[in-house]
Amino acid sequence: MEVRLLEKGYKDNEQFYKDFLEDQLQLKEEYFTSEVIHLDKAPDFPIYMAQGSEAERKELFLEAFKVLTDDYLDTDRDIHLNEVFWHSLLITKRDYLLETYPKITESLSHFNNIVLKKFDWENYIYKCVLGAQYINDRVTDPAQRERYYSLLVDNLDLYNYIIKYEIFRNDQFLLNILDIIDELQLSKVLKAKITDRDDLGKDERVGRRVIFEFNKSYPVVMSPVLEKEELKPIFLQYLSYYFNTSKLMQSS
Amino acid sequence: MFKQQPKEPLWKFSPIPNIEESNFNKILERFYNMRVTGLTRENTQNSMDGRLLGYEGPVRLKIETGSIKKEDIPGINDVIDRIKCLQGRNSYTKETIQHMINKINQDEVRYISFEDSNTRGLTGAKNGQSNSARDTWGIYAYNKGVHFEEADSQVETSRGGSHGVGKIASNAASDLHLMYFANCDEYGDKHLGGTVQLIEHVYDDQCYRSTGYFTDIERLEDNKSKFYPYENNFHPVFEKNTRGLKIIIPFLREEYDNETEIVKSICDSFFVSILEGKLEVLVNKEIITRETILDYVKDPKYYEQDITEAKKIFTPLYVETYQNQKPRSLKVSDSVRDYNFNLYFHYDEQIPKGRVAIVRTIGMKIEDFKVASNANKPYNAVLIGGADEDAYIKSLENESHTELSWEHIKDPKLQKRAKRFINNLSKEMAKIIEEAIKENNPTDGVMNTEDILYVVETQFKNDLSDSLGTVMINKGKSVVKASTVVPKKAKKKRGENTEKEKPEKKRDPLKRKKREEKGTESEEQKSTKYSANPEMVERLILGKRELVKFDFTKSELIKDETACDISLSIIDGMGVEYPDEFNLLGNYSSIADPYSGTQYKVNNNVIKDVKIRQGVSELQLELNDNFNKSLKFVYYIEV
Repeated sequence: MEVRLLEKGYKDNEQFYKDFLEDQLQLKEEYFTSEVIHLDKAPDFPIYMAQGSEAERKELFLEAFKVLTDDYLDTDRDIHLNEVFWHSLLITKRDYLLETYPKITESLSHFNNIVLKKFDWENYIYKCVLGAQYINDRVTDPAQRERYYSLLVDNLDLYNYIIKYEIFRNDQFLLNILDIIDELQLSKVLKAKITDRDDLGKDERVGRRVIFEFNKSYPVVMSPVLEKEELKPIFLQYLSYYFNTSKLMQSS
Repeated sequence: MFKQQPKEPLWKFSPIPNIEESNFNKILERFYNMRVTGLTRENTQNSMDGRLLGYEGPVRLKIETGSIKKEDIPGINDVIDRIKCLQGRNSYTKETIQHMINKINQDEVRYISFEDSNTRGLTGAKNGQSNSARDTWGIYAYNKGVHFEEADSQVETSRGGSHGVGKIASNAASDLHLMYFANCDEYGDKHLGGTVQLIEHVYDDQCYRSTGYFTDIERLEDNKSKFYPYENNFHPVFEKNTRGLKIIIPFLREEYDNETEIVKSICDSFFVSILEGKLEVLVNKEIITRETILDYVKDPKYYEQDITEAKKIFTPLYVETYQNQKPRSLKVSDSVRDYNFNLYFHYDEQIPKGRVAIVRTIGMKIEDFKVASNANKPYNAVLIGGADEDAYIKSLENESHTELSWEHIKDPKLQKRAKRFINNLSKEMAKIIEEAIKENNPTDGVMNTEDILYVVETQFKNDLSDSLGTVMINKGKSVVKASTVVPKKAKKKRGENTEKEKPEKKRDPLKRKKREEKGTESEEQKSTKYSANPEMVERLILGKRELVKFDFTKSELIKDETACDISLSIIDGMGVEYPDEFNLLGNYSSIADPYSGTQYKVNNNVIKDVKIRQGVSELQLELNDNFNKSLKFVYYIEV
């Protein structure tokens, strides 16, 4: 399939939104550049997971990982990490989007938030592309891949926080952290709110603070390249600032 | 024996009691997605499998595209009648049937044919549907999913095909899912057969199976029947006069009708066969042989010639690697036994994507193998095994011969071995790649990592000093960038660096603003606030004690003062500043003057009235247990 890349200026454009709803986009040349990206296959996949129960969301994430891995990650990074490419692709999936995310028809802002979302760490496709890529680059065994996908979705809050910082956008760091969480069964602990520290604000989570400790610590560039066993004690130390780790220490 | 029964249609469908299956054969879809590449590959591979035993010369394959009058296609009206009565029950079948209907009214249609020679052709056509393993005609013409097994096991292992789905690739290439095959055997007997893949349907009040055969039929007693092929007296496009097989696909899909793509897919999949002189292919007027293959591979009309752009198609690289590199041996284990391959390996910094062509001894490439974590390394390689390896690799191939995989293997033990093998293949290749990288990028002895840390640290300092200015003063509301204390390094930077603004941009604007607001409030009331250049702060941590020294002597602004207030902001790894993050009282158990031992007071997270002696202030701090020693600060001085 050929994806025609969009010309600048499509964002926040009411006419563009109307034309999308009325299925007129592909007829209007002015929205497109002459650039075309070729894909062998372009199957549908969930692009927005802020709906449904936690279990349903997990299914959606896993499906997105699978489809992205099978059919999208073979493109060059400058394609699958390009916002315009994804937006250009998504508008070709009009029927699927309207059916799956009927909210789109309600208002331009919903459309922007679901379809034309900025391609950064808050964007679901971005999260999935990056996650799938990190895991696939490092892990070849499909069973292990599944395991990491699952861990990643179970620790989404932390994952978001990790990719928010450029310095932690690194496959080794992410996989090490996931492994440590899995080994020590820390998922719940890291998701928990910090209650006894009013100075930190109302919605602080243990996991985010631990990652922030890494972010504050110099020389920060080193933590992404540490081996898991080197990373673990530091992780536990930072965790200990926010959570009583004495039991963990004993068992590990 | 070959009585033509004039009223009998030329195409036969088996009657069935009722319709069960309303879908088109799934494999059609798969081959359809593989396009002309899949078609060419399957047919070429079939021809290579059918090579004459004991003959050393090349298999010749003639691929032709052209137009033919509809009326010259044998029995075409039978097929059209059937298509007209197909009923789609889901959107996909409806769409497919509509597509067929749209195509049946053309008077002239496109076709492609694949004619091989120096091949055996099919045997036993005269016996028709015989169920004898020796009569390959019967198997080829009337069975799906079965392939003929060679009596000679060595020939059998080297065969390209194994899943018995090749024929259907040809059906997928036709708008009507229609294909013919003309055969001439060693005795000069010539026959024409064909298959069409429709869906189960009702015709004249009778239900029929989805597959139709272009074949004669003999009615036996008990309502039984047996298929016999027609002798080939049809239009010249369907002629096959020399020993071998010819596939003819009328109603060729428009998107398949592309000579350049056909030539490319021959070169992509069979470059080894061609270079080895085992295969010669004529595509209309283009002749691809050992002598001419380079003309195609080096022609920009067919292939991108700039190595640095080789990101999806690697054939020119493979050909070069295979021709110019000496093979070395590579051992790969599946945890039970070792397999030995010949590896042609080429390292070149310009190559953007590293791939290994996995090639069967028959010369067919299976996969552009990506070595795990090495897909972007600058190398190119071709991997070929011997007979044992071939047999094993064959068992790992997926149905369309385009990938090594373990997923289709049912036996869990074999599956595990297959996984191991594929992983080990990656591992062994990774070693070779790493070696090549080391060889091509020699390092002198052991690297001193202190340098890295140093560079990082200085880089950070530079960035910080650039973004903060040397000393910033906020008098009232205006911000002034003073240049009184310019460290040497900063000077150097200024000359060359035009990206000075960058680190500042990265900052979180929210946090930054907050700080400034706060700053102005307090300053307006009483004092002036400076951020200390990192060059003038020295910090030392010994066990549970930290010493910080501020050297103000180079600063005209402060050196006359006798006391100041000091506050700390944390800087994170991204260079973002967090003014409220660090709690002095929570982290330090005591903050004192190292000379007098006087404890300094902390008010609102600010250290108050720190003494300045001859332009120098010093702090002695006792750390709490939870103090993170790797924190980095910006110090603010208020006077």
